[in-house]
Amino acid sequence: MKDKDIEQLINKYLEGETSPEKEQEIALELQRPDIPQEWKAIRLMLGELTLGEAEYDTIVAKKSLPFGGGLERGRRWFSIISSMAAVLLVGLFLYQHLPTENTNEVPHYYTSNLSAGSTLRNVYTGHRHQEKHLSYTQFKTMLYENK
Amino acid sequence: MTRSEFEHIAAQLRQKVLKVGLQFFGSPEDAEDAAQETMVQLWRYCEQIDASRNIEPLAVRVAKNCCVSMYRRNRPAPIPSLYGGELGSSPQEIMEANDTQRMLEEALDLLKPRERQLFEMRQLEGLSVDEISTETGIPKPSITAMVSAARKKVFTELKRRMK
Repeated sequence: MKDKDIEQLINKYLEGETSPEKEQEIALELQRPDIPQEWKAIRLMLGELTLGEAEYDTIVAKKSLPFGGGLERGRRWFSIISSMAAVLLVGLFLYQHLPTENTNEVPHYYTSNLSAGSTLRNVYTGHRHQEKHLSYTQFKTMLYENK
Repeated sequence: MTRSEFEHIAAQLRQKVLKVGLQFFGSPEDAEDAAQETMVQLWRYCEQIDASRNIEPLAVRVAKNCCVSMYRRNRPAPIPSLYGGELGSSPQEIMEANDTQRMLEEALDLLKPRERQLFEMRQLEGLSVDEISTETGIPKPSITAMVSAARKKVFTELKRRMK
């Protein structure tokens, strides 16, 4: 606020025409270190309670902003991003380590080295050391993909 | 207000100031501390408070000040005023603060009782002209005129003393 505006507010204050909210505004403005001597008298008249109330309202308003402000906002964003990263890592770990339920799906190694002309016997004998129990459905699938 | 009168309303008042702390801190523990400090302050000065008046607005303002003081104390660095200057806490600064407070008290002593009452209702309790009019029954224009006269008197006296 410019000095001229403060001067006008002070005049209104002396005329008894300011609201409590405007007086809080004046109290905050008069906290500057380099104010004229006359303004110091006004600051004294407004008192600590007005200033304290003004600061209280300012802090509460700042806290009620979404994610606060400045450093506080940075901290909150950091914690949100950290939480999201942790959830993703746990999800990835579980995805890689838990067994899948779908037994109808043919594992990739059953079909990985199939080539034209491979028979069911080639496939079975080549891979039976990896999986002893192949279902009829899985053999059918392999044959179908090999045609 | 006597100490026993204050004790009579203390429980109800405490609930009110607790809400102020809770709104500010969000944590019940800090709000309790602020409420406790507020009640101690009010207890200390209760004999200077007019018993016929509603003490709640003053209690709320004191509670807000206690919250801000606690907030400052709990910050790691010396924080203070919103304009970057630190609040005075050295013996010399405390002495200066006491001097200016005494100067203000002496300036207020020059006011007529009615002027002083209205001045304090505005400055201490932070009541609006409408609220003062409701409480005292004095018409609003008269309140504005008396508050203005009181402020100008105090201002003139303070300026004279500060030279």
